[in-house]
Amino acid sequence: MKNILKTIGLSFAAIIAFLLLWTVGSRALYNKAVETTIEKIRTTQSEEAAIETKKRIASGDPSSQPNSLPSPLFVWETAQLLAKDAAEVMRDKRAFKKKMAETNEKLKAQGKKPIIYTGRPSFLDQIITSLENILWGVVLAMCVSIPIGILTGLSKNFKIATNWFVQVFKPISPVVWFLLVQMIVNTIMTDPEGNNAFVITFISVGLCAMWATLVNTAVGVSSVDENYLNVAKVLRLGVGKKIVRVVLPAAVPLIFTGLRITVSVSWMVLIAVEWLSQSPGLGGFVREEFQNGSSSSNAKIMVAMFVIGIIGFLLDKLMATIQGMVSFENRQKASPIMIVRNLFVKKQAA
Amino acid sequence: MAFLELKNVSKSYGVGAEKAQILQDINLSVAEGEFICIIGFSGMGKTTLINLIEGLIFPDSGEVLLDGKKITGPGPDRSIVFQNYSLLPWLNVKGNVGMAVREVFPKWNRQKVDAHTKDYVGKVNLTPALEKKPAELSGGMRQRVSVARALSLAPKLMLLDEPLSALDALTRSNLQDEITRIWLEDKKTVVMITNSVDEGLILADRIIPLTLGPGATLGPEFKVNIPRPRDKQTLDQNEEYKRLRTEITKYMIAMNQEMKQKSNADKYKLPNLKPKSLKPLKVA
Repeated sequence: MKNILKTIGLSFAAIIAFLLLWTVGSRALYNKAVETTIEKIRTTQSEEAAIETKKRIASGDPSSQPNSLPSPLFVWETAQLLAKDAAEVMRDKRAFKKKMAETNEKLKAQGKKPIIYTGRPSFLDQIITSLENILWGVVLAMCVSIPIGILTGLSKNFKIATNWFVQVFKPISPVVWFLLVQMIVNTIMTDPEGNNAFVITFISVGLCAMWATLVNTAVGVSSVDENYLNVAKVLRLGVGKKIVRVVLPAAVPLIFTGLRITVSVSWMVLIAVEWLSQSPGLGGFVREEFQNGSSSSNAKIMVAMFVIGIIGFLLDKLMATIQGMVSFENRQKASPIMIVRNLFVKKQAA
Repeated sequence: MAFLELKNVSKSYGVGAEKAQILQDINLSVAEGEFICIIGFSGMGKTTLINLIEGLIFPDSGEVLLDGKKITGPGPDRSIVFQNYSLLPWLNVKGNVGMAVREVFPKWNRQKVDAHTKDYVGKVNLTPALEKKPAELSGGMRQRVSVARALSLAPKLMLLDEPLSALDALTRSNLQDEITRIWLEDKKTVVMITNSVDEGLILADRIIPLTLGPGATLGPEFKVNIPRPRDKQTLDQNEEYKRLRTEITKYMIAMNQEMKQKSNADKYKLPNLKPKSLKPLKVA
């Protein structure tokens, strides 16, 4: 209990310090930006125009504010605005669905496509899109890297044959993967209504992030404890049974260690790939706000930044929990789920 | 005819200059239902010997015969208890034993496998731990699971590779009792490796020392004519026990000294030098 309080207290203090530094920094940057703007007007126009601008900025008119690092307070207000907007869009959508229910039923009966909502996506929609993208990316990474990793770990010849391939492709940047995937996908998918951006995004993310799982799976499979293999030998398990009953379970902890890295790399890469592929999602949101350049754009980008960070953190925690559950080496190490379960069990007992 | 027979078995590892002769001219014959203890110093090839009988490795020369047939690999007629338990950590006790049962009796249905598994886990008094994973068990409990797994395969021959060496004295003593009880119940043939003379005297019909390597072979056997059940509390007063204990210990010590002399002879002679003075230099 004392430790929990200490953790909370110290984290809280660090957050306060961070916000203070941010406030002071953003104020300094803002002042510098105002000065530069006024100075520019003074040299290019006239002294009167400069004074006029100064007055306008001081009055707080949003359209005349210079763009610089937004303050924490402004970011917080923007976050609330985005939340409110998301709620509004959701209400809109629901209303639309209700209104269109009858029409769509008729269209369906006639064998025609139903009318779908085409309004702008809210911030929440962007988050969901990004999560969908990463889900498919990770699924693809798993489907490709785990089988290849198992083969690499089992067969020395396969490892020799593919080693150069892994070593060369592993360090390639997400941008290049994106370009490569785009070349292929855009050639194959020519349907103008096809969701090319989505396909390109999740394939690029998957290819970019799968290497950690591949390497970890290969290591896990090839370094199974001699004692476990002896059990397989003594029980005279065939090759297939040996792999399924002994080798794979023994490699599971390392496979999940790899998957955890894959998930965090996917999330990191996803934003950049979404930006490039014109896909909706958080990356797309950041791109739009960057190109928009309105007074609240920078604050919106900052909100997106924090949301990305927090979701990344939660994803990693989720993977760490799964990793702890499948690990048999240190069962004593408590995973969050175990802690919650223990609390529950204790309460029941009391 | 003997049940298990080793004829002039030799085994070495490595090739050329690195070649290490581990076992040489091992001859052993074990009757059905016998309990044999092989005793020796560590690193002398005891595990190699057990692995040869199990069929995990094969001899360079000579042959290992079981029931008159040459051993060509691991088989369901033999089961082994490893020194380091070798339990699969992702399976619970029931899973570890049950997996072995399913493999050896592939025609059994689920209920039969389950009942058999529970039966043998019960034999080593671990029924309350059926659902526990190896990481949640103590060393002694893990070794008991390993024993249950080996027994459940209904082997004709049990091979125990120092099953009790890693355990504390109390657990060790308990498990010795359990092994004796199970052996008396099933009357299986047992070949057990140990490093303790006392353990051999409590458990075995015959104790055979493994001589020192390289090229270790089996020494003269000691028949243990102590009636069973052997009560540990009164065993100390048993004349036969005292005699055998002294004899075997003497033999082992003599062997140890022989090795020391041998290894001393190999050492380089050091020149007879003495340091001039160990007094610190005076600093003016």
